Amino acid sequence: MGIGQKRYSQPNVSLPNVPKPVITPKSTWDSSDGKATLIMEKKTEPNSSVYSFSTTDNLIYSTTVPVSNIFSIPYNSWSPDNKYFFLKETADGNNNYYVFSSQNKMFAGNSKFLKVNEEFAKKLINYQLADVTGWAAPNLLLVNTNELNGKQGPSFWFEISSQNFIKLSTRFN
Amino acid sequence: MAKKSAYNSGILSFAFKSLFIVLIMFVFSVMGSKLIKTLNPVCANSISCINNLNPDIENNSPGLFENQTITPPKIELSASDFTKPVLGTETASREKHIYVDLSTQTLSAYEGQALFMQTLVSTGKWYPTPTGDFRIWVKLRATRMTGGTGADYYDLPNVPFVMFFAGGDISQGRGFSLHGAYWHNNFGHPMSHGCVNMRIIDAEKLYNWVNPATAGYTTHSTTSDPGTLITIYGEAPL
Repeated sequence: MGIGQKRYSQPNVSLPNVPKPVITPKSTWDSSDGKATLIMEKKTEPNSSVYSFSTTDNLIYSTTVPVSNIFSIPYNSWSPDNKYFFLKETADGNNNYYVFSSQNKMFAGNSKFLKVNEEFAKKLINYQLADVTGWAAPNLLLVNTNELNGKQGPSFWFEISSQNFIKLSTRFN
Repeated sequence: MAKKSAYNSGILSFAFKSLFIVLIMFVFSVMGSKLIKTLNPVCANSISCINNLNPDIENNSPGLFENQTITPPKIELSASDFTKPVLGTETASREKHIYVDLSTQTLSAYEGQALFMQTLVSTGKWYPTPTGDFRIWVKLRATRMTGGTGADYYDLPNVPFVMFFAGGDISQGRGFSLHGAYWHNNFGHPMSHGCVNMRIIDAEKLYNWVNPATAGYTTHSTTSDPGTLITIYGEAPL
């Protein structure tokens, strides 16, 4: 060992066994016309998961959640015009739905995404959100509900631009 | 008193007779309506039907669906659209067969025992998709579909990869088809007026696989190249 070089000895402590993060292979989902692709990457840390969502052009959103929270890309995620997509998060037995702009545009209130459940809870107090199934039109998400007593409720459109719910005369099962 | 009683009897008798006549008229009206529907069944797309079997590309026309203005996809026809090799070789042991399960809103396409593709679709919501065995009789690269009335009226240019089918009680004139859908993305749930809606990439893949082999922007089945068999079954969750 040369002059001036320090010798570092192994510390006499047991080092924690830090597991390597598990990187789940990417999940990808194409739009109906095949012109856009949504890519989900998941990195599992010991106590949390890091989810990232990108299109082929941009990173859209990244979030760290408890390990028990699971994000998924629904089959009908992409809006028909590829301008939006919606995601589903399952947390504590509940499903939460979020709408994003594929072009990284912000929504009203300078928000990166729309929280469908939050808007629902504010505006449809007489119903429970049962499911978001897909897009009835480029600007309209289809939301199915239950009555507060658990019986099947009506379907609504969730209009992205106004963030209002429009009750439909027909249930879309 | 007797006169009043006779008068009341007369009124009652008239009321019962009127009610009877109204009831008879109602019954005949319902039966007549059913007869008209049997003799003149509704076309899947009630306005456009199968009125134009030439490829209809309109790249600058807006569409309308559910009172929403829709921008149809632009279609640029190319030589490769005119003639595409049909994927897979059909033999007696590898007959192509499409199954549409209305209950699960799923389309499965087989070549013999081999699954070629399986995907979610949207079948009839406003009018039922017929069940039974059918064959594709003509394919159109794209066409305009219009129908419905009032709030249900729709006008959709550039509907892509259209495969009209017929068979049994369902004549060609009924205009039922498998096709791509660009106006909604709610597959797995009934959404249509009787046709089988598909994601555009799925419709394209199926269109290039089914018989008759593509030979133009409009391709008719022939005795030497009959259309692929389609079996539709189950009950849609309406």
